[in-house]
Amino acid sequence: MQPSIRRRLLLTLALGLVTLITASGFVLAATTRVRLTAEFDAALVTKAQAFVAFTEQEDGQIELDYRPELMPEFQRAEKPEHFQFWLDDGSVLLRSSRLQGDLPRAPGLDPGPLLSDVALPDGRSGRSVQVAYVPGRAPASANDEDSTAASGAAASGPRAQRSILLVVARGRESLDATLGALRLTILLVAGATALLAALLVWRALARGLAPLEQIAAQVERLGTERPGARVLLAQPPRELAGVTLQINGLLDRLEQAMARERRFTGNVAHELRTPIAELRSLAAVGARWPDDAENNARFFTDCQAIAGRMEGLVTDLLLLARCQAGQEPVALAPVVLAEAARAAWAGLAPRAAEARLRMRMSVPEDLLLTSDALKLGMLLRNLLDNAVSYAPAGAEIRCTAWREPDGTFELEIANPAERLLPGQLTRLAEPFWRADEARASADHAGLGLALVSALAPLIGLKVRLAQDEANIFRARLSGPATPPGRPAAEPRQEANRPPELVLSRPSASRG
Amino acid sequence: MKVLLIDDSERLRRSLAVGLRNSGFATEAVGDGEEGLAHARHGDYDVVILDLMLPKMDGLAVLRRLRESGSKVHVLILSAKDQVAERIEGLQLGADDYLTKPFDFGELVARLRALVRRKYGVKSPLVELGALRVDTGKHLVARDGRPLHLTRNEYAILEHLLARRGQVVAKAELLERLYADVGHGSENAVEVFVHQLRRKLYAEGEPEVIETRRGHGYLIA
Repeated sequence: MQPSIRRRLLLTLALGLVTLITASGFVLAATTRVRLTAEFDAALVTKAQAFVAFTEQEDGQIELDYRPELMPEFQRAEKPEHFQFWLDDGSVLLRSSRLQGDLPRAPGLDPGPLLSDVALPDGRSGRSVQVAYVPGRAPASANDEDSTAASGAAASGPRAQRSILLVVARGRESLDATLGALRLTILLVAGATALLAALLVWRALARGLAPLEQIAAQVERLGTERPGARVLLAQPPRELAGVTLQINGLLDRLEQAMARERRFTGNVAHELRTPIAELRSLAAVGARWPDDAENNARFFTDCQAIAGRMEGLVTDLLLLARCQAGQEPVALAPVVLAEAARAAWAGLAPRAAEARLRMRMSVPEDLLLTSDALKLGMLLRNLLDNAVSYAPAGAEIRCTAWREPDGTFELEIANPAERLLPGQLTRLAEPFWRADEARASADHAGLGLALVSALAPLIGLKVRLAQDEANIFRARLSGPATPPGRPAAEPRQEANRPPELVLSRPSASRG
Repeated sequence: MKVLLIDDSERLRRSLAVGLRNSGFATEAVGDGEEGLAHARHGDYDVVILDLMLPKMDGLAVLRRLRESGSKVHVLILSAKDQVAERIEGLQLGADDYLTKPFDFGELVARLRALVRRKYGVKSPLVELGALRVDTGKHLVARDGRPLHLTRNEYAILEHLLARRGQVVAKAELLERLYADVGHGSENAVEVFVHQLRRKLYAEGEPEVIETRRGHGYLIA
C-alpha cells in the first residue's frame, strides 16, 4: 500500500496521545486512590483516637465514655462500622453492638496505629486501624454517671495499669465506589480526549496537508493550462515555500528547455524546408519546361550549391551531436597557436576582403598548446567566421593572444557588432540560433557557436562570449599552454566533459 | 496575370520566376521586405507572393503596412513557417492564402489562379464565348472542340481581358501582363499580340471576340 503521510502522522500522534492519556490516567487514579485511602484511614484513626480519648483507667478499673447516640455509624443496621476493645490479657472488653464475632487483630500490643485491609465478620471487605494504649486516669466529671462502664475486669484496691488493644474497622464500599467512579471517569475522559484528539489531529493534518494537495492539483493542471502557469498558494506555509520555489524553478527550467527544443526543431525545419523548397521548385520548373536549356543549366548549378549546403549542415549537425555525446575522438598533439589562427583565417580571408574587413592578428609565435589541431582549427574558424559574418563592412577584426602568468593562455577575437537584444547573449550557443530572424544568410546556418561550445571542452578549453558598451563583441578562448622551452605536456583526454560556455554579460551578440 | 514574388532565396526566386512566367504570369521578383513593400504599393499586381522571414523587413510587417496603406492586392504567403498559429496570424493580418515550404509548383500556380479569379469575381475557370471555350485553369483555348494554339503573350492578353470581361482594358495594363518584358511604352507590341490573337480566335460568321475602343483599349463583351 502506498505510504500516506496523513495516516502515518495520525497513527503516530493518536498512539502517542492514547499512551500519554492512559499513563496520565493511571497516575491520576493511583495518586487519587492513595489520597482517598489516606483520608479514609485518617478518619478511622480519628475515630480510634476518639475511643482512646473516651477510655480512662483508675486503679485497673477501665471506664469507656462511649455514647452510642453520638456515633451512630456503629449502630446502624446497614453497613455498620465496628470497634472492638481487648484487654491485655486477651479478653474482650467491649465490641460495637452490630459486630458479630471478632475483628481481625494483629498479635502483640504495638501502639500503632496499624492500618490494614481486613475481611469483616459480616463478609464485607474493610479497612481497620489497630492501636494499643494504656488508658490514663480520668478527671472528675459531672457526667461520669452517664458514661458506659465497660470494664468487666475492674477490681477493688490498687491495681497495675492495664493495656488496651483497640481495633476500629469499617467497610470500604464507599472508598471502592469512589475509586471505581474515579476510574470510570478517568477512562471516559481519556477515551473522549483520545477521540477528540484524533479528530483534531485529523483536521489539523487535513488543514496542514491541504497546501500539498493544492500543489499536487496545480501541478496536475499545469500541463493543460496556459504556458507560464506556476504553482501559487494563497497563503503558503513557511515549510512549503522552498518546495513551491523549487517546483517553479524546475518549471522555469523545463519551459526554457522546451522553448529551446521548439526553437531547435523549428530552426532545423526551416533550415531544411528552405533548401528542399528550392530543390523542389528547381526540379518542378526544370521538368515542366525541359527545353529551356539556358535556365535548366543554371538550375543544375543551383541544385549542386543547395546540396553542398545541406551536406555541410548535416555534417555540422552530426559533429555537434557526436561532440555533445562525447563520442568525438580527440587526438592531442603540440600545436602552434599562431599557425592554427592563420590557417583558420586563410579560408575566410576572401569573404572578409569582399566585406572590406581588416584583420589585426597578434599571436605569439612561441605560444604552444597541447591540443587537437583539427578541432582547434574548426573552433577558431567558427569564431572567426562569426566575426566576419557580423562585423560591419570596413570594420577591423582583432585576433590577439597572450600567455598568462599562471601558465595558461588567452586568445581573444574582437569585432564591432550590432547590439544584441537583452537575453540574446545566452542564446548564442543554441544550435541554429541567429540574430537575423530572417535567417537570410545562406553562408551559415547558425551552428558555429554551438559547435564552438561543444568543441572547446573536448580539447580542454573554455570559451567566453561578451559584448561591451561600445558594441565590441569578444569571444575569448582560454586554456593551458605548454611552458616555453618544454615539450608538449602529456595529452589530457576530456571527451566526456559537458560543453562549457561562459557568458559574461546578459546582453550581447549573435550566432 | 501580374505577380510579385518577395523571397530572400535567390535560387527560389530564380526558379519560381521562370516557372511562373512560363505559366503565363508576368512575374517580378525582389529579395527583401523593404523593396517588396515598395513594389507592392506602387505596382498593379494581381497577386503578391510573400515570404515571411525576410531581411530588412519581415513578411508580416510588409503585409501589415501594405494593408495599412489601403492596398487590396491579393497576398499569398509562401513560408517555411508551418505552425497553425503562424498561418492564422498571417491570414488575420490580411493574407488571402498561405502555402508552406516546401510546396508543389503546380499547387502554387493553381492557388495563384484561384486568387486571380477571386480578384475579378470569376468563380469558374471555364469561360464560353459562343463556340469559343477557354479553360483558364489548364490554359486551354478551343473552338468547337478543336484546340487553338496561342503563344504565352496572346494567352496572357486573352486571360486578362476575360478576367476584366465587360470592362475596357488599357494597352498599358495589358503590357504589364505580357510574358516577356517588351520594354516600357511598347504598346505597339500589345497591338501586334491583339492582332494575332484576333486572327486565331476569328470564326466565319461570328462577331469579333475582342472589341477595340479607340483611344481607350480593348474589351471582351
